[in-house]
Amino acid sequence: MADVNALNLLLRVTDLLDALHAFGLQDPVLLPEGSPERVASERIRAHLRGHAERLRALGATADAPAADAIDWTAGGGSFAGPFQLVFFDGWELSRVMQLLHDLSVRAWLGQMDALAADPAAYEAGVRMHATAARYAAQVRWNRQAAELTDAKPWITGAQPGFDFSLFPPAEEGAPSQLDVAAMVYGVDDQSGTAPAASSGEDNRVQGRVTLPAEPASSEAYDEPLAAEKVAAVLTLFVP
Amino acid sequence: MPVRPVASVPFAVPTCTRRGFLRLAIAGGSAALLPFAAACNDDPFDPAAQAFIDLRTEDGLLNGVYALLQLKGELFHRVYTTPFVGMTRAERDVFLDVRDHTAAHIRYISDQLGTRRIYDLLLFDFAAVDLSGRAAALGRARALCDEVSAAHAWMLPRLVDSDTRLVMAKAASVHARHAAVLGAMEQGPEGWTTGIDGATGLAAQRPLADALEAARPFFLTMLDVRS
Repeated sequence: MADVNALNLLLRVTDLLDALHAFGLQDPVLLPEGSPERVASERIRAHLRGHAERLRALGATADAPAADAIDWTAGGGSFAGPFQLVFFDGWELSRVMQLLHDLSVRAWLGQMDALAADPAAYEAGVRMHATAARYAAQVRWNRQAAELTDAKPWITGAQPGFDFSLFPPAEEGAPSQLDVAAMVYGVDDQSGTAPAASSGEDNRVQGRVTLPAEPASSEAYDEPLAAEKVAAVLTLFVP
Repeated sequence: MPVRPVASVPFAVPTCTRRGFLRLAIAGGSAALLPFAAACNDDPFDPAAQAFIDLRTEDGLLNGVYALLQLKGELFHRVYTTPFVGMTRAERDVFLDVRDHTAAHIRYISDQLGTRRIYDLLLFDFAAVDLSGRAAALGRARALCDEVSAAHAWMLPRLVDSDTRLVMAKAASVHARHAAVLGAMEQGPEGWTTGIDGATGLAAQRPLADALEAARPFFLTMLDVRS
């Protein structure tokens, strides 16, 4: 049997993404009819429901959150988090989508070992993870095409690919979008002296190989994120 | 399964026998900024060059992917250095990035296998593909990305060493990203789904032997695959 805690964490991520796309699809201002973003959301939702069904069949027991209980501002239930424009602004929504899809990819990688005890779960996990990575790339590609970001379809260093200075915290001392991004990607050190080995997306050490300090070195590998760190991000949205 | 006959390997005279991609990828220099030769190098073509890949072993699985990645790196290098008419800046950046990511994956596998890796300098023949045309270049690149992604999905559950499996899963994640973007570049907003079963949302799996067989026409080096 696969680890139920691992399955539940992955189900929580899957259900949250499903709800996020449902949230966007209910409002044509956020996802205009016929837009590439809307097309992607429709397809992603259909897949995610299949993933949730499969995870439950494998033993996951977590309940999907009630739609009105989800704080899309990432405020931990305050509805005053750093993404307050998410209800009105498709750009803000696309930033949340990018962060949560990249979180999903890291969550899958972080739980693959826990799934390995059950060959069927591991094999399904590999295939759902590959699909999750496609979602993340497509969301980023759409954002790049709309000129909303410099972010590539893959993660460069531990950078989110958009300028957070434009999005200060709503209140002094409150978490900013940058804080949420740091939880998803790791803390980026742009001093040029960061160690090659990192638990964040800027990691450049793979096995015995230390890859050179070039963007492609960290882009080439998505990195796992520990369960408690994934859960900490989820709690911002579903307290 | 019997040894696959190698006599069927095409021996068309290559339009370009490039060996720079892998050589530089494993040489310890920058994986990100590989100084690929712009023109064919003058390494002599060795018709006896052969790569034996035993997919029943962990080394064989890695070697199978190693061969596919050399082909992927070579194809993306080729299109990047001789872009098709109308290629956008964003598209060209994608070809460059995919090439360099692939080099970074090759570096890891090369180190893991050490002297057990297959013949390093596989040779390729793209003569049958018109990479100067947008549809052909993107179609070929997308198909290869789908193939590599599906081969990883088949291989990962078969790897025994958990450390190796994790690193290969991390690379597989980025290969899936590549496939999505190439699909979108080729086919538009829904192109990223080409390698996904629409009913289940599961990404495709393909046995490595099948992926190598599909790629066989592009290899000049003889591949002896056992599965």
